[in-house]
Amino acid sequence: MTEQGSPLLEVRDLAVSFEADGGRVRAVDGVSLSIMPGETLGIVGESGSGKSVMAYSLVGLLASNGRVDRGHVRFEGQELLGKRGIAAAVRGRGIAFIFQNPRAALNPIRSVGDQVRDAIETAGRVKRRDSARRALELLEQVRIERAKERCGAFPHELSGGMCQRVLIAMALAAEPRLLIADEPTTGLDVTTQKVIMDTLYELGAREGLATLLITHDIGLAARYCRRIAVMCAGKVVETGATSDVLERSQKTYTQRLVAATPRVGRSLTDLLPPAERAAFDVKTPNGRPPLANAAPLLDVQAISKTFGIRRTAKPFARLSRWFGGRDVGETAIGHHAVRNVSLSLAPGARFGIVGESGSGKTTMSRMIARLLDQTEGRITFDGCDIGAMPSSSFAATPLRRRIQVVFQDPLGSLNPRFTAYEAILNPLRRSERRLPADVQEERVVQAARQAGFDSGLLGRFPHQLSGGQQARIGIARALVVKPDLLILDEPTSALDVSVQAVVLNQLSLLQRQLGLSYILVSHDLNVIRLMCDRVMVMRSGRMVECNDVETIFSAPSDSYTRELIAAIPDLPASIMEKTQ
Amino acid sequence: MHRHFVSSNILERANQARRVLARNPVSAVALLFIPALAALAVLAPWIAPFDPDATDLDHVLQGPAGLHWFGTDQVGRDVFSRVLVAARLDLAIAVSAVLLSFVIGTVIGGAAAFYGGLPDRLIGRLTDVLMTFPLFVVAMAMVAALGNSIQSIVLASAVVNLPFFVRLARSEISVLRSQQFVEAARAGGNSEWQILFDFMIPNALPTLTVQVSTGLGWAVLNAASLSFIGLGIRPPTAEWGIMVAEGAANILSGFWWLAIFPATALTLTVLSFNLLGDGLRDVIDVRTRR
Repeated sequence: MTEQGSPLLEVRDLAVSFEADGGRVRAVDGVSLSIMPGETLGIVGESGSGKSVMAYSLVGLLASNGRVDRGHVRFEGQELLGKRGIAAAVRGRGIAFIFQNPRAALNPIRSVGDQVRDAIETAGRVKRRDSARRALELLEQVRIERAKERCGAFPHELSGGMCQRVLIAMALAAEPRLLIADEPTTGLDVTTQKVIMDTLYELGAREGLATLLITHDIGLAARYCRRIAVMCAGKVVETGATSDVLERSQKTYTQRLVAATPRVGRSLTDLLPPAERAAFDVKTPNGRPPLANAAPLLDVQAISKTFGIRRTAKPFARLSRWFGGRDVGETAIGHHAVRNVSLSLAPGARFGIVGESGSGKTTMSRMIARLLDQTEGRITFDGCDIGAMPSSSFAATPLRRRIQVVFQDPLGSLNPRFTAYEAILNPLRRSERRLPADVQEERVVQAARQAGFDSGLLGRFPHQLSGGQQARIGIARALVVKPDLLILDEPTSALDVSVQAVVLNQLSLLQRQLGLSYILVSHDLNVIRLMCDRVMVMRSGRMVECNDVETIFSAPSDSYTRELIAAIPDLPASIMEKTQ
Repeated sequence: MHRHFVSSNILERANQARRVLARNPVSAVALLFIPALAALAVLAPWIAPFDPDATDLDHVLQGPAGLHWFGTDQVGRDVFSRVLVAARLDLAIAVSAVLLSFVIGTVIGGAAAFYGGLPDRLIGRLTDVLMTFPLFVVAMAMVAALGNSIQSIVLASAVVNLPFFVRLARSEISVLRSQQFVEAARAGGNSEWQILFDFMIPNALPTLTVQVSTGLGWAVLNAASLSFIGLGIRPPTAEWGIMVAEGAANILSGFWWLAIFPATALTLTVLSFNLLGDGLRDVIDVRTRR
């Protein structure tokens, strides 16, 4: 260690295990690390690497079936493990915690100002009558605008990013020396993520607050941490200065993780380890480039979607007015999810829709997939006016087969009572009713193979499979009916980067081999860049701009697009060059 | 090969049942007791040692002994035979009542949640109204109005059980309706009915099964309670409620066996049904499979 002074937190040979059916499972296996005062240490690793469990065990927040088997945790020279009460005394005062889902961590029926005051009073750092003033100070410190008004707001009235800032304010109430941030921005938009991380970074610099940043996102860790530790299967694979670890790593796991993170200047196959590239680097003779002059496969003309507020029946409306309720009966103003958006797709096109939460991108894709009726506008698919067909009866038309969807949540989009085989078979049986059993089986196995799903696992239920395998069932289920247009709604956002790398390559290969078109809906500009030729940027239901991918990234015409691109936590340029 | 991949694989099912029950011995006992009771009830006329209705005035009010295991009553009928035969009647009433309310309640509640709108609100309010009445009083009133017959007891039990199934099915289906796999099913070309019957109801079944089990226990108790107060089934028919009512008068005179044996049978049956619920859900739910 080159730094001067003694570390703030020192972990030596920590091991944690959990009681499970059939024995104990080791989640953390001999982890050692240290943090200096004021330093930001990033812990990166994929799901199941033990990074969160490690952090929770530091302050005695393990689940009841978890146990620290051995190791030492010293915080400011004081041993935290082994002695009852010490971890609890340090927790919240010396060490504060912020969690992944900010809204769930706040009490829904108490105003945020009161919650910050509660934290201040528990910490006991200021006099009780000063707590309101201090709460305001803290909220301003985490850059909540109009903090005075917002004090009276309830968590559901604030955005996710705002809630996370309230939580940071609460964590700061006790003036801790160490902040453990467990995936603090996962699930938030990139622009929000940037604001939160900048706030944390500033606090570290100004107040000398050390941060343990736990994240799956290497780009994020690289941008905000000087040192990082890479974890895999309960062990720290390596620790060191960020640039050293990311640029000159000798460890296969780190190299693979760095390579699998999408970024500028890399192609799709670059995400994979060299040995696996050959399988996807196929020049396919029947993969046709999109024909500019061909008749469009899909043509969307000025569609809009307004979600109505449910009208109250007349007598009740009068009653509710009498009680001073809002006049919902007569002034039903809708919420405009999508406003006047048009797009056109040539056969074989790779189209991307990018936007933050609430931008209307998913509503858009659901209207095209005929899962939702548009309020206005025309949708023409291969010459048929599918916009005129109501979504409730679209399942009965032969066109249903030709437009298929791969959903966002790999587990949630599978019926828990269907095996993988039944899940893939179901759409096939609905589109081609009289297939003999052996043909059905052949088609299912073929689709599973195309999606990269091991046919030996077809008898398993979704909960018995990994996230990557679940995602592949979702893809196979869409492919089995041989569609012409695939709508991919955030197909990899729930997956680890190394799994995402394989799934994206699989999708790209299928597009080339089968000559199908897809619309990829994503919040991740890096994924869009790798997967699409044209991209549309959406914001609050409107189209911001639509252009070729290169143009959007090199010369965005709208300021919002520029902001979006700037917010991507990319790996530093130096690393990109060296690992190429 | 096809059959290895589907969820109705019998071998897997049996394996799962074994695993669940090994973890859950109380449910296992209940699960063994109920089929045993059902078998006894079905075979009662053949295995009962005596005719349950035959009086024997030479041997009245005899205590439990070798020939009459549970003793005899005030007109010399064999209590053991009567308890056995009564199980047949009480279980038959409970099963048909619960089956009726389960099927009707699931369809009504499921359809209400599935289609939403005005029918849903009407059905929701109707069940609310039905549940504001004390349920046993409703059952009493129905039997009194419909006449003393087994059918009216079945109908009364079914009606009283109905709102529970409607509510449960409605809440289960409305939660399932917003699940992504339902939207995926729609994208896969399933019609609305296919979604309801192939995707939603099977997923609601594990929870509904628990309600069936506790509902059965409740229905047995309801039938016995009605006849205890003299509604529905009339003496001299062998029925647990009637036997307890008749025996209760004799307990103070020292003839305890008249009430204790049918009461114990009743208690064990209701308890088993209540304990069975959780175990049964774990057996049916594939998500507990590893």
